[in-house]
Amino acid sequence: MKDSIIEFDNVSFTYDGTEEEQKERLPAVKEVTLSIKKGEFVSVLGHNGSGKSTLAKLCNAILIPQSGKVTVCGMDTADESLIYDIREKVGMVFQNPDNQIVATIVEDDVAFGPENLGVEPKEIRRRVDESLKAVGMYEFREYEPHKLSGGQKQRVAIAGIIAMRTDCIVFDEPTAMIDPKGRAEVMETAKKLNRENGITVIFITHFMEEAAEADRVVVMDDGRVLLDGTPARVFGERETIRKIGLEIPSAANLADMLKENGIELESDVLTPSDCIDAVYEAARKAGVCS
Amino acid sequence: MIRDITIGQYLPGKSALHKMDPRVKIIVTFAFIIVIFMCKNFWSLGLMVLFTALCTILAGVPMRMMLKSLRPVMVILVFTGILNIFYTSGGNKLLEFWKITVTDKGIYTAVFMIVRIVCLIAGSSLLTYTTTPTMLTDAIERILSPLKVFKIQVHTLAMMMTLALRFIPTLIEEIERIMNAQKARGADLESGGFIKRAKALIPILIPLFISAFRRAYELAFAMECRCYRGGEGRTRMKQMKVKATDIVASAVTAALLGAVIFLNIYFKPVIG
Amino acid sequence: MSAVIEAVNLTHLYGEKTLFETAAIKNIDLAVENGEFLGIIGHTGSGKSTLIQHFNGLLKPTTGKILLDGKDIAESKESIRAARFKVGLCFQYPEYQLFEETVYKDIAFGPKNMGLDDDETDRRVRRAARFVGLSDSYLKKSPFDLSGGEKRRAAIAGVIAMEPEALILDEPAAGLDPRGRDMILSFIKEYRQETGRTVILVSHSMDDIAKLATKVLVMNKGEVAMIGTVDEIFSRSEELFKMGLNVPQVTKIFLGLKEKGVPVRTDIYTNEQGCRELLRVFGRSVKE
Repeated sequence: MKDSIIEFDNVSFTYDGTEEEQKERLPAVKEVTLSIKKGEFVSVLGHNGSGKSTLAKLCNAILIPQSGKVTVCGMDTADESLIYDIREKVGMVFQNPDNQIVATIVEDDVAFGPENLGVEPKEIRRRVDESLKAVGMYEFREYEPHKLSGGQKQRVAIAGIIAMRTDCIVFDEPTAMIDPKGRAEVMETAKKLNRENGITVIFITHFMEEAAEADRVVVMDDGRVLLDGTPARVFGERETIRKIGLEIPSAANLADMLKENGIELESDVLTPSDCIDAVYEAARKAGVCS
Repeated sequence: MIRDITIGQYLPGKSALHKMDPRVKIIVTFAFIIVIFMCKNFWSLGLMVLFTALCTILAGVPMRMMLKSLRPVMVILVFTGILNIFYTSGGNKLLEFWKITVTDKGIYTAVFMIVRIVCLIAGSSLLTYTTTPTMLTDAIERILSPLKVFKIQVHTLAMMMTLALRFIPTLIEEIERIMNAQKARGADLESGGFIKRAKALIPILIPLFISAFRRAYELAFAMECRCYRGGEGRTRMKQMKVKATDIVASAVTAALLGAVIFLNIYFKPVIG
Repeated sequence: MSAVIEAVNLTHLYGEKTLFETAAIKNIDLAVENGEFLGIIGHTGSGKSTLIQHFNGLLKPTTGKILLDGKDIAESKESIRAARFKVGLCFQYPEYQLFEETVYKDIAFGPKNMGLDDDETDRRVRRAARFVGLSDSYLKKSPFDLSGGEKRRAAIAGVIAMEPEALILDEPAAGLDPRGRDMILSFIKEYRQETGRTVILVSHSMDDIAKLATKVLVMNKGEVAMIGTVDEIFSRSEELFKMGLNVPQVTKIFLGLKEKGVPVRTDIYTNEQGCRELLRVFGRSVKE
């Protein structure tokens, strides 16, 4: 496919038995075939142990599949000579905001990636300012990272990735360790970059409300892709979702209960704002309000 | 709160000293130290004191802060004073008791030595007050870069320094967190003899090491993801340029050196 | 009912007598009743953590005092130490406190520090492990061989094993996947039902608090913003929302509907209530 940015072709990966600890932390991926299109916002759901973090690390040649092939913008991740070209295209934001910030000053950290790529100093300055503005952290450019909140640190990490001019960002549970306010900040930033800068986003999470906001949801279970489609379609598979112990977004649950009691909503409901609109429509039709 | 800790003692500002090229600043500071050690009498030392005071004012460092940086060396100052008063031979006797004689020369030497140390500390503190730790490590990397010829990994060393600076506050926070968690389970860190206390550290050190290794592992991943591959082919956003201020500063230092040599010859030496 | 923990005019300042002096908490008066399930909500930096660290004497009040069973905990060195065991405090991400060779030894750390004999310690360790759903086969394992969720449970067991009169859990489910979260929350519920002891749950998730707590304390800017039953607190959902707190999704939906002119109540915090309220508004009855 021409417009795809990352292609997984029948990819399998298992960790060596020698490194027990690693094996525990990152389980295998089995026969995954998946195509991520340019400009998409894909969220990946699944339990700890479902292989979603491994999937993320296969995206930018941190891990190389044992069988099958991962291609990033036409480049095979198994080709060692392309490793840095691939990482320039696909950046990663991790779970722990502290463990990915390298420098003692915010702007120096954002400059780290472009510096590694050997970009001209003046151009780096331009990119750093631009990236910090894009994530709303420009005023904090001279701060020390440890004085920032979790959400702010994650935004700095995101700025550090887009300063490399990546086409795609893989978020590996970026909201797991931060408070609701920070979570909203990170989600907003990811959505804005996707919408305004056309950056492809792969967003791994276990918050259903976050997943519901994506264009596409991929559900992983036991290393395989179990469901793949629009949020409405994926969360429509109520039984499957419940069976593997994931949740249906709260708003969708409410819509289900209403349906059972005879109030049909006309559109699919996944997020609170969907629900408000749909219930409002129904209320107007029923003449309950104007 | 612990997140307010600042590493180093940088005082943000926009003075000429702040704006100097950190490489030049480091070299000038070294030259300054050498010149101080060359001073042999109160005239030359006085000149250096005057110069240090002037720089302090120029940098906008409050006197209070300067005095604070002297506190850790207080003991050394007192010792230097006492030793020099009692163990300097020659000069006119001022006081004599038991086996100890105090001479005017002894007092001169003591005062001279103390002023010299104060000047030394103040001068080098000015460097850290006006330069961020990042700029310092950067500058050290660049100054030492010729050592690459001898296959010394200057960049790696500088990177290690930067990462250490970055993670000190994080680890301090971590220690506090672990200590609180173990105290909440009744760990007693305050009482008992040496062995008991050392044993009490185990529940803190083990989680700390595990966490530090995990951080290191994750950080290495993150750095690789951002295309880090050592110093080769790397550029820097912040360029260091030698500007007019730096040339003036170097010239002033050179002039001081000349003046000190002249004053040393012209006036009678206090020491050696 | 009698109060287990009382805070009397409690104030704590950070960086006292410096330029950066800030009040983390100020003038807090509070009584936690015996057997109560208190939920504490508030932003990061609202003073929640500072408050709970006073309950077991980890932090000393700048002014005011903490009473446990009516006695001032700051009375003596011994009374402060006793407070640690009376009020079991489990911090966020408690798995980072694990250090022993086996899960058993780690859970036994607290009881050992209390000076209990081996038999009593053994009884407590096994009981605590059972509460958190770790079977005997886990006790011999190294804590570092467990999965993330299991580590978390082992660490919480280490606090439960002290059999405190009041158990405080700071965000016990943070960072876990839905399955892990459910497991933690359900054993907290069981623990309380079985022991009848006081539990204090600090959480960002109002959904969890709504499900579990009998009383809710809302902290804002270092002060008690609200305190009351779950119903009382959620009847003021608009205020909570304005404070920038993360109200349950269903509450958000009803606030949004009201704004659009749909005549609904806004003191809704579960889907069941929401469904019932909409049926009322639409003039339908609930199907059995």
